[in-house]
Amino acid sequence: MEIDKRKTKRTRHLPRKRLTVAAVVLTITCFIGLGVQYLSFVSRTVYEESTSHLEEVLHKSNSMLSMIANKNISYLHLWNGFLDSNPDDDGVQMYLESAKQELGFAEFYFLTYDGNYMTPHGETGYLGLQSNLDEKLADQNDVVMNAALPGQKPTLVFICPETKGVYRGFSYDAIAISRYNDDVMKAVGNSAFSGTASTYVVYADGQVVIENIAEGEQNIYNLLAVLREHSDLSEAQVQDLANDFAKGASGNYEVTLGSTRYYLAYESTGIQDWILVELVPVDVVNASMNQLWQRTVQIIVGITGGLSLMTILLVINRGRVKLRRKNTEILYREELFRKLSQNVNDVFLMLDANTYKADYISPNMERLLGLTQESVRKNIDTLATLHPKDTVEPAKDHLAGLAGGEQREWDMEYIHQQTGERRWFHVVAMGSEVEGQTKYILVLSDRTADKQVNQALSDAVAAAENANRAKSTFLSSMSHDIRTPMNAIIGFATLAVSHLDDKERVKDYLAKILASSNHLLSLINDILDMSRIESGKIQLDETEVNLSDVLHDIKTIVSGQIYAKQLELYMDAIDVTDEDVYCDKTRLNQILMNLLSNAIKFTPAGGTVSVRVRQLAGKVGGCGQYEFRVKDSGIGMDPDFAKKVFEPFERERSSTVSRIQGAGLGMAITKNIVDMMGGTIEVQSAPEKALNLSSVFRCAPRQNAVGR
Amino acid sequence: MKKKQLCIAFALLAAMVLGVSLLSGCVEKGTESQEAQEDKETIQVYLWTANLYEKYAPYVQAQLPDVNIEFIVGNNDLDFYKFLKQNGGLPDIITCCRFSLHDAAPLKDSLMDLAATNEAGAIYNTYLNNFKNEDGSVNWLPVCADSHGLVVNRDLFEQYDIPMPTDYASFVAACKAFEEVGIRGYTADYMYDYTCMETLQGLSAAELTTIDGRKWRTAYSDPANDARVGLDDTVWPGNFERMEQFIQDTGLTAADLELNYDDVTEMFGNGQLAMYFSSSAGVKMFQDQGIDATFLPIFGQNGEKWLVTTPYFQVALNRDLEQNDARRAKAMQVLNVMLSQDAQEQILAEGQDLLSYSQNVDYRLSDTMEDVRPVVEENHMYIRIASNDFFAISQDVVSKMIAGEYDAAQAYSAFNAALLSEETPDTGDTVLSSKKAYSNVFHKNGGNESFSVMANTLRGLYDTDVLVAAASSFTGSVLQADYTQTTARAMIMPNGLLSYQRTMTGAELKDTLRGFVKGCEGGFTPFNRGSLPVVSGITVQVKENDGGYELTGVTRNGKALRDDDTVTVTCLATEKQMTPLLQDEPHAFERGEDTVKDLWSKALSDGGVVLAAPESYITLE
Repeated sequence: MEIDKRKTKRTRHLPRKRLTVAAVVLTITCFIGLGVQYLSFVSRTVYEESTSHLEEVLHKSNSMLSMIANKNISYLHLWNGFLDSNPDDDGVQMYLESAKQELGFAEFYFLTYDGNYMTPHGETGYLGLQSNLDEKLADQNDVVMNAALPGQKPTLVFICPETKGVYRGFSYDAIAISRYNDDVMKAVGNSAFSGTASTYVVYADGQVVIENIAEGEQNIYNLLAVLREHSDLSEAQVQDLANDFAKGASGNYEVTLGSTRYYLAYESTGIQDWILVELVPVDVVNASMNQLWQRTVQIIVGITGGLSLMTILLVINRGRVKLRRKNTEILYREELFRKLSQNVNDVFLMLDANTYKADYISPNMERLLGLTQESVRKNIDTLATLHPKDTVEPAKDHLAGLAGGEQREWDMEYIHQQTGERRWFHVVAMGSEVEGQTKYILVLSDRTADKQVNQALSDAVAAAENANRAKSTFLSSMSHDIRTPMNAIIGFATLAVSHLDDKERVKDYLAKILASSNHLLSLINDILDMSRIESGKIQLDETEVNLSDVLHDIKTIVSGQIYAKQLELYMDAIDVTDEDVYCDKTRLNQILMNLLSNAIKFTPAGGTVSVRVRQLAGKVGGCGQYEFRVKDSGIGMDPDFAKKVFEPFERERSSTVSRIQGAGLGMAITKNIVDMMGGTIEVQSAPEKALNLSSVFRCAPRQNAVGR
Repeated sequence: MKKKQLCIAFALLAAMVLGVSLLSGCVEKGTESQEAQEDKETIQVYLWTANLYEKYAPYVQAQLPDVNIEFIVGNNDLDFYKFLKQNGGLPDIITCCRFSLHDAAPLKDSLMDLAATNEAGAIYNTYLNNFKNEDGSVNWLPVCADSHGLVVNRDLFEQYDIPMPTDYASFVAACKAFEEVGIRGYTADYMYDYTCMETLQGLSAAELTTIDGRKWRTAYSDPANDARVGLDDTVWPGNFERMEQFIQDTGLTAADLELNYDDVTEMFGNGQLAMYFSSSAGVKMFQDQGIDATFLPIFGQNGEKWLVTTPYFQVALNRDLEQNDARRAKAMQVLNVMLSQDAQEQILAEGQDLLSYSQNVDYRLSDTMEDVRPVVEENHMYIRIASNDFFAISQDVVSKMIAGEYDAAQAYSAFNAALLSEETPDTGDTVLSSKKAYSNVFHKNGGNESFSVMANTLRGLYDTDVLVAAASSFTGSVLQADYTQTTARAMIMPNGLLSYQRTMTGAELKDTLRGFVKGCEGGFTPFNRGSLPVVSGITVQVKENDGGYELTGVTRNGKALRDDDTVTVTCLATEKQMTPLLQDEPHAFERGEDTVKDLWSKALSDGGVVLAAPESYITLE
């Protein structure tokens, strides 16, 4: 149910997530789209503004060039007038030199159609004009041409064919003045772009007439050729440009030359077929616009970026929070599981169904089974060592064929690998499909305690039954042993009553009553002692005791019985260095009396009974150790009975013993008292052999009792 | 999870298989496409002289390390290129020295129009006009100029207290003054056609540059003009008159027609001659010998002074380059470098003056040219008309004028008639036939096929086990064609190519090959792949190493050449190329009596020469 709920929740989350992502993507796309549109608009506007500005500047330059050309042609016409007046050669020279100084032109030439020249100084030469002068001057119009002489700066030559004549014997067909290209272009060029603009006057075929190149740029001799070879303009665009040049049209382009982006603007000069072309780096033209542009771009990018970043951060944060929450949940569960698994008595294992590799081993494995997690993780077969070696059943793969969703249970007895104790486990194995893989989840529940409890209960039941049986036995034994003297007392009392006159008979009857009463009292005392001992109500009363005195007293007590049975009693002490001891005299006497009584009881007449006391070497717990050995030459004891001689109500089932009175509690009581004293008692005997009872007591020597 | 892993693994495997098969496909096609790629990427430049191969070509290659340029020494006239064109072998960039637009006419449609290029725009109009076709197109661009004028011994003038000439009159006066003291005032090596031609034109440079003169020149040079053009009757008659006057004034006689260059320079060096017509290089030569020589212009009889200039070479580009933008761009790069100032300086001998036709090259006049600086600055530099007709006819007519056989009028008529007479086509017999055209592009695996054909053929002629030739030995013109004596002779360059033979051990041969491959000081150092030597009878393995080359192996008959093998070896090289290799030789090479060209010509004349098949002679790593 819960799983289904979770699945439904997850399913509902998915479309919502997708919607959110889609919304975010759409928003960003819209922003980008708008941004691009805006950038494109601004870019276009900037371009139009820039080129318009550039065209204005170009027009100014063009006007300047025209002005220069017209001015120089005008000078020539002016001088034609002077030359027509046939001045002498020296006068001409002076006049022209003064004009040169005043107007700053490079040189004055008297020209022939051949291209030969003579200067006012009389120098002759051949003017390397662009083309044949005679063709150019065929219609007698003024012309402007460029000339390049070896070793000299290129010049612009303004030629006027109006006047022909002879100067210093040189027949000329036209007069001309030349100006250095640099000077012309300096005047034509503009400072609007801080020297970064290159200005060219070109022919329609692209050949450069004059140029003013920007700093660092190389000379160009054919602009169209250079654009064709080195710019990003296509052949078609270059051709269009050439066509514009030929038509004398104006226009502009954005072009990349080398690694720099330029605005190229051009306009017809109106001088012959010349075109004025300006190449200005885009960055320079758009310097201030660029700044604004850059700022705008920065702002837009910043905003877009910021928004995108925010969105991304939000999404990331949400994801992180979710993840953290999930992690926390997982951590909680892990911790819970860890604590549970540590403290419960169930070992959890997850195994891979194919490889049997342990995916999970609960940490209580070591506590419950004595195997470390690492050893099992390393080799799953380590689990096989848990089986007791004395297992009768053959090994069985309980997991074979266990499918997902299936469950099996069985009980196993394992040996704890560290303590060696046997433990009982109830194993539950569940097959499970996890992420497409089949896993076996095993729960090994430690039922050892239960088993032990069961065992204890069984034992207690058994003990109770035994006790019950013992009680029944006791009652049946006791009832007889109690009834017998009671019957004797009652019988003899009845007889005494009925024979009151017979004093002797009454005396006898009273003696027997006394004996039976004493016997009964002894029996009751023994029973009470036994009960008190078993209930722990007897306490040892340790006092200063002299062992010799004890032996002496004992002898005195039993001397009557000894004499009566004509036994020999021997008592001695060996290696006793400390006679004076602390112990419970009464209980010591009781023990010795019990042992002696039995010895006397079960030794036929004429036998011997000996009591030996020996102090053993060393001390235990500050107490000396004394061995009391009571030996008799009596009927001995069956070894089987010797094993249970100290159990209550136990009397050897033999004809000899059965004829001897006794409830069978004396040895049990003796053993209990010896145990209370921290000693041991044992019997060595065989039937028809001597009985050797020795008990070792611990008694503190008197000198050690200081301060007690 | 498993499925996913399987899919990924499968995809990777598939990609690997595809990649391997593509690569193996590439490898299989490797050799073939590599050669085709090499052909595509190589720009072939034909040089008209081996002199350009030594400094100029290495410089150009060094500026364009990413462009594979194959420099081949071709021939110095347009007939050579006409032959190549006729047989489908016109290279990408061609240069020639003996040139006229008229002679270049048959090639016009095969050459790119450079009029609209920046390189053409850089050339002074004065000179570019001489290369402009009627339709305004320009196929040829001139490089820098070699100037010709008068080499003058100033010491003699001082010794005999004769004023240095400043115009034609003083020149003539000086000649006469020297005659009186028993010294020849003026002569020249009129044995040669170019001296006759340049003198004739130089004396009338002023007239030839007038409008009429230029008109005639344009008409004469116009490649579109199918009809033969003779001399005009405006300018040329006067030219012969001036020539006649000059002959008289300088005392030239038939004896002067026997003088070669060495004779004239010997006379000058010995103080027996005061002035001779030559290039300005002569001045430096004599100054180095301690003679105070100077250079003066030709004194025109009209008072003008002119220098006769000869472009060192003209350069043109194959129109086929326009079909491939990448190749065209590369070729233009090469052209740009070839016309640069630094490249032009490589053409010159040490100390020689640089008179460039381009505005972007600073002209450099050494002290030797100080006396002609004004002439240069006056722009009185005349580019000679150098058509084959003019060479041949000038030699014939001027010689006869000098010999007294022709006066001016006769000379004019004879010259005109010769110009107008129909060209006798080269109807020489076929002396060699090739059924196949061979590539003249260097391939990393194999070398240059056409070079190999020539090397293998010559090895047969020299009857030698091994032949080693400098790469500049062959013109690469092994085409599917029938060769006359002239065209077959042109398969070998330069004229000074000699043979050196001896028997040597394998170890000695390897040393010799190392000298050819690695190059040696004072000799020739290969500067790119195409300039590696050509071998026949052996195969060499060469490794390219930081712009240099190293011989890594030699095999003969498929096995490694052992040091103790004995082979007869013939080396083909110029004397200059071979000299450093001969220096440490314990055993002398036997130098062939004939030049390689002459031996080849003789073999061709004797008939029966069959071109050998090419072999793969080099592997370049």
